[in-house]
Amino acid sequence: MKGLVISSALFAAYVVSTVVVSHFGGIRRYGKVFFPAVLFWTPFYFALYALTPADCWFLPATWLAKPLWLDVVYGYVVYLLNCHSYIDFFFGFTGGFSTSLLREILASGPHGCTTEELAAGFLTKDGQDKVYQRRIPHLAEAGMIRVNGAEHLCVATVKGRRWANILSVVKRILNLDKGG
Amino acid sequence: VATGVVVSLAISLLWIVVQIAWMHVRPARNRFRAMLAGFVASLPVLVLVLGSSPVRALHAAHFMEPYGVVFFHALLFHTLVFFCYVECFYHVERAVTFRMLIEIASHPEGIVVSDLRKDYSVQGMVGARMEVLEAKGFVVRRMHAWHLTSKGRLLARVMAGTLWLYQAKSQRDREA
Repeated sequence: MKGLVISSALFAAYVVSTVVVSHFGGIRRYGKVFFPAVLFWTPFYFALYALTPADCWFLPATWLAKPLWLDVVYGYVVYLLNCHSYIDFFFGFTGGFSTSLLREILASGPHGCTTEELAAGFLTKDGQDKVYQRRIPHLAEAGMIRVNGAEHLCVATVKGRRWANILSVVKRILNLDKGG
Repeated sequence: VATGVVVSLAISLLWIVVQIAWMHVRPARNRFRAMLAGFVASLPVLVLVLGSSPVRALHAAHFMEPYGVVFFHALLFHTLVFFCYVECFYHVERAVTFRMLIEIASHPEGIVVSDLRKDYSVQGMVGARMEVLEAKGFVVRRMHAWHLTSKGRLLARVMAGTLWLYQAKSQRDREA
């Protein structure tokens, strides 16, 4: 139970810190804040676990888990699962494709939006679409693809092919179509 | 902790395997509802297993934790694993970047961006996503235009609040 108590306190600290940094920090790439912050708070979890009394000042003696290592690991796994849900919520809401479409329809007022109008919102001033213009360089940056020549020929690297195969297999296991 | 975690992991694994197998036999239109139904159906199983005499006896022989605490840990962990599974499911199902990577990798000689766009255009992406949102009751189509339902409006407002809180830009408003 002690692991869970510390894990909950740490998760609260994680949430508050990411909100404060995001709100006041002028962040451009949120992934570069949210993922490292999980690791940033990790040593605090183990330090707090080691430095606080076994009963955390209020836990009954029978509630203390044995073996101790399991309680430590359990608390940390709960922290990771909570962070995963939180990051997923953040990217799902702010970066999500669907939610961005819903927001666009909300902004359109009583007239609503046609599919063409919604798609037009994903074009840059020079007529390029934002969906590709942003993701292709990210995939190249991650070493998944190479972009060759002026015609922008995209070729999957070995790492990219490996990931594509894994994703295809997982999609087949889950009985999903192409998606996206 | 140990009893609760082991039992909840076993039951989570069981319902996930059953769920995946069921989706091959009879694919659900609303996957989230199907996953939620699977999770809810697994809860009585979790309680039954935890309440069974062999598990209780095993716990009593090795641990001192009250059984109420074991139930609490089991339910908490089971719920967190459910969230994680649903989130991972949607990462795989919905991620536009993953779809792009699979498309590129399916052309060993490479594919130019303009051809990629033809196979998987932004208009196609938007159209497909709007159909999903319509099926889930977030939008309705009237006279060729999309309108929000009350559920869709609520989600759009939550999104606007979240964007303000994190000072973030939506996917559409971001520069490339």
